[in-house]
Amino acid sequence: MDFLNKITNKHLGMAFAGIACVGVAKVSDTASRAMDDVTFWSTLQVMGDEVEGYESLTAMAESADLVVSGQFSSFKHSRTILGEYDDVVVYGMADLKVNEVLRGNSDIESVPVEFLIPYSEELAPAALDALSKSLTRNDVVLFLREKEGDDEVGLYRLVNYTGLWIDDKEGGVRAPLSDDGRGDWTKDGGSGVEELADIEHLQDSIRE
Amino acid sequence: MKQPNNTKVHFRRWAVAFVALTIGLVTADAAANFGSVGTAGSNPNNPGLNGVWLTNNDYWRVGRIGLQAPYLQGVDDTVELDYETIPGWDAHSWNATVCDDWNFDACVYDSWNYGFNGFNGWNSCGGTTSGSHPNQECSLSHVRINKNYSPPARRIACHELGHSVGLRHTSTSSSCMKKTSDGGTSELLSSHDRAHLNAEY
Repeated sequence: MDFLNKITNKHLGMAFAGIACVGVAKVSDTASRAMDDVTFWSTLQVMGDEVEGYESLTAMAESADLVVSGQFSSFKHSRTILGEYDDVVVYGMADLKVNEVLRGNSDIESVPVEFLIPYSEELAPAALDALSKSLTRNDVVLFLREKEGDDEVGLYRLVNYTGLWIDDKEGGVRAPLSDDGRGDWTKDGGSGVEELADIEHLQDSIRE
Repeated sequence: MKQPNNTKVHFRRWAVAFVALTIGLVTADAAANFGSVGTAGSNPNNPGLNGVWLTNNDYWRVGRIGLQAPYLQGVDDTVELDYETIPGWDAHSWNATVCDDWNFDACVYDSWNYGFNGFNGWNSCGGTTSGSHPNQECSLSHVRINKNYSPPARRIACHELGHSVGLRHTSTSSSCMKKTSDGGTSELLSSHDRAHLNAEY
């Protein structure tokens, strides 16, 4: 019986240790994903003056060349542009695997979306590496504009930085690149987006 | 003893409450548009040099790196006629071909080559950061003006240079810090912006 008790105690100890490890791993995994999320979106943020503005999500959708839902599958370097004198600007490119085309070319299966990487030439590789490693796997809805430059054929950009919405997997949605994280127009109570259902409703109204 | 008129008393109370609320909202909005934001660079996986930063030099030197008309004049005007006139400020700009933090606190570039990225202009830290939010400083800011969109020269200079000294976006129409995409058209700092910069530097 002592032997059995010892075995039982040993097993119990191992079981508790196992449960503790799983618990720690789960918490650690959650914390890691949260850190990835912060890293990904904070690295992509740009402090500047955007060209296009819209009073509602519907107006932005109607103006966009392409509105798609999907998931990012990769993030990599796109172009390094030399400006005047010592000026260097770097772009990165996210590849979006399309789940559904809500507006625009319905045959498209993936979309190359170019993002400004607002870092010096020396720091841009580290930023691109961080973006690749922390790539978000959440569902996203993007409002896109075809880029207009001679060197930009086939590339897309966000209509503006409120044109990117992600499912936060807690029943809500966020516009993580907008100033307030929720899209500016939600402040005026117009066509505010409070939860995933609002985006789904929008998808119904703009679906072609 | 004369009894107060209840209607008048109620009206006065509502009027006081309304004025207090209005002042509170205006003050809150103005107060919210100053201070550094962004990641500090402490995370080794994230360079953390995007955002709004304060400058670390009271003698604020802006380099016009190969700028052409109309942005050459736009930057000069906003620095010399707007920022320089803030009490306590000493702000000047010079033409240059190389940007470094020995000579400058902010450098402004313009180019057609940036492509159609949706931005009239943007600001980033091209130097090193120190301190902590909301007072984190950047030793050298890089301001870019995207000529593909032909943004109004003085307005875009005022807006992006504002980010390089700690000003965030605002909803105040009289401020150049109100985004174009939000309906902003002002080419000048607002009195609130100037008060923030006067108080900080």
